[in-house]
Amino acid sequence: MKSPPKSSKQAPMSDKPAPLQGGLFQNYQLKGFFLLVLGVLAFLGVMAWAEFHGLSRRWIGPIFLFSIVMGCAALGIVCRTTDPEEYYVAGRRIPPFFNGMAAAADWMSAASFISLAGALYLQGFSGSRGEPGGLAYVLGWTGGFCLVALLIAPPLRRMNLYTVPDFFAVRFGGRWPRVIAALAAVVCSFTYVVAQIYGVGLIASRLTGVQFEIGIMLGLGGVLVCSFLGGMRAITWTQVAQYVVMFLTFLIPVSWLAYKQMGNPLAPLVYGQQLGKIAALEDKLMASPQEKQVQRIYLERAQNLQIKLENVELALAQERQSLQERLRVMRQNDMDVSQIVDVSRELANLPKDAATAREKWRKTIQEDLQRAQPLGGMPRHTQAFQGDPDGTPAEQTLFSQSRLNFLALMFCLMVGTAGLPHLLTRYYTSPSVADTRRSVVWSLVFIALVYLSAPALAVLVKFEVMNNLVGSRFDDLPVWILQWAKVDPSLVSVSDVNNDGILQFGEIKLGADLIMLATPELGGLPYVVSGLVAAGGLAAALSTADGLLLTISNSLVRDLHFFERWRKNQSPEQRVIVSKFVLMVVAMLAAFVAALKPSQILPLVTASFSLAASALVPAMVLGIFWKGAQRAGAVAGMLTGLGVTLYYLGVNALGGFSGSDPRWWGIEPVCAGVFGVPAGLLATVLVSAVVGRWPDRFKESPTTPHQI
Amino acid sequence: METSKRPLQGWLRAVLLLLVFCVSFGGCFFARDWIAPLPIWGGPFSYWLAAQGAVLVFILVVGLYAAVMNRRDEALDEKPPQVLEAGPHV
Repeated sequence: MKSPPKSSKQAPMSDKPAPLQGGLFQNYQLKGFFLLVLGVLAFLGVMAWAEFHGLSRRWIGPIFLFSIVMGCAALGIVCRTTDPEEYYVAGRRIPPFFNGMAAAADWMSAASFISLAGALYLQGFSGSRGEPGGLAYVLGWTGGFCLVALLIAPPLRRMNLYTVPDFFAVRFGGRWPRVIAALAAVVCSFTYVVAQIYGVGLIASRLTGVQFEIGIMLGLGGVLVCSFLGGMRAITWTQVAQYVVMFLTFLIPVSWLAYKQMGNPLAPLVYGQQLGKIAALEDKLMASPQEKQVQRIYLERAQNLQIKLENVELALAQERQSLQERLRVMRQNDMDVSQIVDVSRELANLPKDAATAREKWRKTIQEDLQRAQPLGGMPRHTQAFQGDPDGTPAEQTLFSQSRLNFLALMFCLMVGTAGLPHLLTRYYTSPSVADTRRSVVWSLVFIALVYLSAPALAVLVKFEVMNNLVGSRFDDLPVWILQWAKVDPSLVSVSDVNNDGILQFGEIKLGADLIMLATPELGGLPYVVSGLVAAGGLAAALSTADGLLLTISNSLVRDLHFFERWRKNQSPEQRVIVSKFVLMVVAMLAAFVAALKPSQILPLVTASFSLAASALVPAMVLGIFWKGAQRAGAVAGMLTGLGVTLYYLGVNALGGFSGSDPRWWGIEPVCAGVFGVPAGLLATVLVSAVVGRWPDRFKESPTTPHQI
Repeated sequence: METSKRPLQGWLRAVLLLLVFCVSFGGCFFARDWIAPLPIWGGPFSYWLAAQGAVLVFILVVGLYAAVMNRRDEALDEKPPQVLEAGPHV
């Protein structure tokens, strides 16, 4: 397992003289890549032409969905393989440029592509105390690559492994480190893949108008054919293709909006000038009497509901009675049918019993209270953290807790990046250790191309909304608002709260997932671009789901003990076939869980980062850099890290014991990794130190990955 | 040959990680204090640092590390055979 890197290093370089910077790619790969880019652009051109000549909007979405899924499937068929080296690590001959691109697509999930810009729009710099976010996502998801590049990817590549749990087997020996690592890898990847498939379902159902569950199945079809037939090799090339789609779909609307607002399409460079204007607009909105009126109305609504909440049964009965009364009067007076339908729908939508009513009203109260704050509860765009370090004691606590949660979230995302198995296995596919290092650089460059534009996009959209949308009349609102509101009212809702016929900032509520999807229409681009953006989101979700599913099935088949006994009399090819079927089962299971709609995308993703960070990273880093790390220490570290994180997530999900606040130092549950990582490190060090003092016959001979 | 080169990579790694830590955690920790009014960018500097500056630093860090380490690896790969060949004669 531990053969020096030379043998693998020579292979790709024999036909190429020493690489200048970055391993250069072979000619056919470069040609294929340019053909791919041209193909995507040509396809877009044809679609735009078709729309111009009257192709119905109803067809554009399905065509995009169909071409993406078919593209994945076709690549899977072209790259089909049963050779283990090809299936698990793409033959270890992916050049750094493409490996970086594939890793970028693997990395940027539905959360980054669809939700990131929206989160930046809603949360500004740092989000709120209870919901940290904003730029923590940008920093965490890019900063983690420094850890990957400096600490983890090169040594792992040097060891010629196939999966991440393999590392624990090689370094620590024995059975348990590998089994626990495999379980941890499965747990965090599964949480993550559920979020991706949820995203797939969301976008596919929006693109085609089919049901959510059918959307999941449609999207999953492409993933399955691709990873089922071709394994890592097929996934690599689909991910390259998906990166191209994602990149174009992100860049076109951002550049267009920047050009429209500032006459310069290079959004990341020039968006700074809009920040000052946004600050001025925010001042104006905060001082505006109409906005204050809207906020007062929301406050009143919340107070009314609060009163109802004191006696839920009575309030519910009264409400039902009054609605029935109104309905009766309307029927007697032969009122307009549509009005009667409205009222009876309202009646049907009343909560069935007191418990659901209580829950629903509490949620509404929270929403109303938030919208009763200035700017609809959104923080000022460039203000870091809530509260005020020089204000009252309450404001000071708010400030320090908001800052603490922001830093904790960033920590979890960064360390989690260094532990997520699907990303690390991507760097196994490089021809050499040097190429692994180059791959990480390329990945970060390609990710940054999108991530540097995301804050710009959020700012441009905010300016567009505050400057142009707010103050327009309700009877000529842009069409897209109504269309999206029809798709899902949680994405965008507008209501004339103070009945003045003019849209106030407080009256419009945009969901995080909408911002990116609605940008093209906000900028006045043709519908094709909207379809393209949705297709980009689909590509992002599919590419990540690809990598995750492969990681899960490989961990299950290669690393888990219960396969060990009967895998001894199997050929490697047979094992690959088993992997393929496990992959299909896992995909089905994930689809089933996603169909239950357990949570939103971002919290799920963040939780899986916390899990990966605390379960895998401490034992892995110590195993690489500390000769004294022992098998027992690694096992203890992984179990402790995983245990602490799961406990913290669980306790907070259940609301804590005996009503007390279960949070430690006010840290939000999604940032549980901030406790899990130190706990894991400590456990590994302590147990290793204790075991290290035992007589030699109790100790294993640890194999250190020599000379990183 | 490995041990003599180790200090360099250890130091390099430590310095680079410290830089990453300062830019990300440090930059955000003091975002409201003295970083925001720095007159470097059109808007508040702390926003630019968190939104874009830090990412650029990360790329620099990763790129620098890869360049230094790969150059060192290449040097190491070439030297051992020469030493071995020369050994018996000298």
